[in-house]
Amino acid sequence: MFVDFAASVAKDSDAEHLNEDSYLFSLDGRVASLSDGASESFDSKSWAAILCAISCAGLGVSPESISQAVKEYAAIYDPSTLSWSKSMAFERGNFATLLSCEYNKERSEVEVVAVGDSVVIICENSELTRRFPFDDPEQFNERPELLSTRNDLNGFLNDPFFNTKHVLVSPVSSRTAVLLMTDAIGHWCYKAIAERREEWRLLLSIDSVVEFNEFVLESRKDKVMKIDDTTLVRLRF
Amino acid sequence: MTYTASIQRSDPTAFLFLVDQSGSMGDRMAGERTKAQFVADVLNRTLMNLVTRCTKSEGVRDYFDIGVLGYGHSGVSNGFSGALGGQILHPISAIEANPLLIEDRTKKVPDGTGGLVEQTVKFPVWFQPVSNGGTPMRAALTSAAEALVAWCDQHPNSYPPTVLHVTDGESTDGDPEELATMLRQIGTNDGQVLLLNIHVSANDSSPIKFPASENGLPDPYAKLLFSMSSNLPEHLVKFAQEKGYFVNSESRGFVFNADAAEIVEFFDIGTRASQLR
Repeated sequence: MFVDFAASVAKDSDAEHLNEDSYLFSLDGRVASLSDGASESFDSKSWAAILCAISCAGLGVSPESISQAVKEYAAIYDPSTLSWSKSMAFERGNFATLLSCEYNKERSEVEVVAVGDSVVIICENSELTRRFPFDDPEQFNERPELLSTRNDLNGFLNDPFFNTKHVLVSPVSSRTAVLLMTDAIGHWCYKAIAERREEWRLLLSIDSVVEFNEFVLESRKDKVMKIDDTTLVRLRF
Repeated sequence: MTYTASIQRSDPTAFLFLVDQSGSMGDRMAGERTKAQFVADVLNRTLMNLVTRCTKSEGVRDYFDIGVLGYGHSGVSNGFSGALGGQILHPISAIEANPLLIEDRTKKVPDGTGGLVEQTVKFPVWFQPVSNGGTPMRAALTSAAEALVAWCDQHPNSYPPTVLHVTDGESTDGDPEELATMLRQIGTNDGQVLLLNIHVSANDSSPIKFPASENGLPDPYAKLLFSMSSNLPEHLVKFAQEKGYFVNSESRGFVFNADAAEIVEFFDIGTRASQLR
C-alpha cells in the first residue's frame, strides 16, 4: 500500500497551524490513518494526532488501544496549572473521528475501522465499489459517535456489534483506489455521487496540493462544501 | 437557507439574556431557593458552559458575544458589573476574564468503586440574583432591540442573535407584543433574531414545552408569550428532539410554567446555535 496523494486545507486557510485534522502512515506501508478533531474541544489537534499514531503503531482500534491513547493525551497537561476555563475545557474532553486502514498483503485486502463521520470510498478501475461507514449524504447530518479523551464516553468500543458497525474488510488490487476523507469533502463527494455528478472523480486523479487547495477554496466559495478542515488521502496498492 | 451560517471568530453570534428581576422572582421554588437565585445559578452555569465550549489550549476563541439585561425596580440595567458594566454585549473572552468572583462549590462524582465522593469545583459568578419592583418588559425589549440593531449592523454575515427571555409575570409597562415583533424583525443575512421565552413558575402546574399552537395554553398571558416567541429553527428542533422533546417545525421557542429542570434545559437548547468552527 502506498500513499498516492494526501493533502489538507484548514478551515481558516490563513491559519494552517489551527488545522485539527491529522493523518499518518506507517513506515512499513501497512497502516494509514486519518482523524478529524472536533472544533468544540480543548486540544483536539493533539488528540487526533495521538489517535493516528496509535493506529499506525499497529495497535488497532480497541478499548485497550484507545485507553492507551487517553493516557498519552492526559500526560500532556497538568490540570492543576490551568486557568479555571482551560481546566474545565480539559475535563470536558476532546473528541475526534478515526479512520484506520490496515493492509494485509498476503490476503490482498484492507481492513478499515471507521469511527465518526470521516468516510472511505473504494474504487476499482475508477468505478465506485464501496462506501463506508455511510451510505448516503444525509447521514452526515446525524450526530456521530466520536472517540473521546474520556474513557467513560468510549463505551461504544465495547459494543458486541462494534465490528459490524465500524469495520469493513475489502479486497484490493493494483486497480484499487481507497479514498479517506474528513466530513466536509466526504459530504461533497457523497452528494455528487448521489446526484450522479461526475466531478467526484476528480478525487481519483488530483495530484497537486496547490490544485487541491484551489478546488477546496472554490467549492467553499460556491457554498457546495462546508467550511471545515478538509483532508483527502488516496491510497493505492 | 437561514440559521445555517458557520460561527467563526470573524462572524460570531450573540446571546442576549433578558432576566425579569421583579419582586415576584423572590418567591421560592422547590427547596429553599428563590426563582431569582435559581435563574442566576443557571445563567452563571450557562455562561460557564459557553466559555468552556470556546476554550482551546491556546486561549478563548471569540465565537460568541454575550450580554445580560435585567429589568425590575430600577428599570432596565446591565446584568454585568465591574469591567463588564460599561456596555451590553461582550466577546466571550472578556466574559472569561472578568467574573465577579469564583466560588468553590462541591459536587458528587463517582469514586470508581460504585460510590460517590465530594469534589471541589470552581464556579465563576457573573450575575447575581435581584428581585424587586415591577416588570417593565417593554423597556427591556426596547433596550434589547437597540443593542441588537447595532450588533447586526456590525455583523451582517453572522448567525443571528438569540434572545433568551426569562420572566415570571405580566408586563407592568404595557403590551410587549408589538416590541417583541419588532425585535424579531431585526436580523442578519442569515436570519432574524430568535426570541425565546420562558415563564418560570413556583407552583406545581405542569410545564408546557415548545408548543406548536395556542391550543391548550391556559390563559391570554400564556398566549401572549407564545405569540412573542420565534419558531425554532431546524437545528434547534433536532437538538430538542435529541433531548426527548416532542417538537416540530411549527414549535415555538417557549416554555410555560417551567420548573427548575426546564430552565436548565431551556438555556441549554437556546444556546445551541449552529456549528462552531
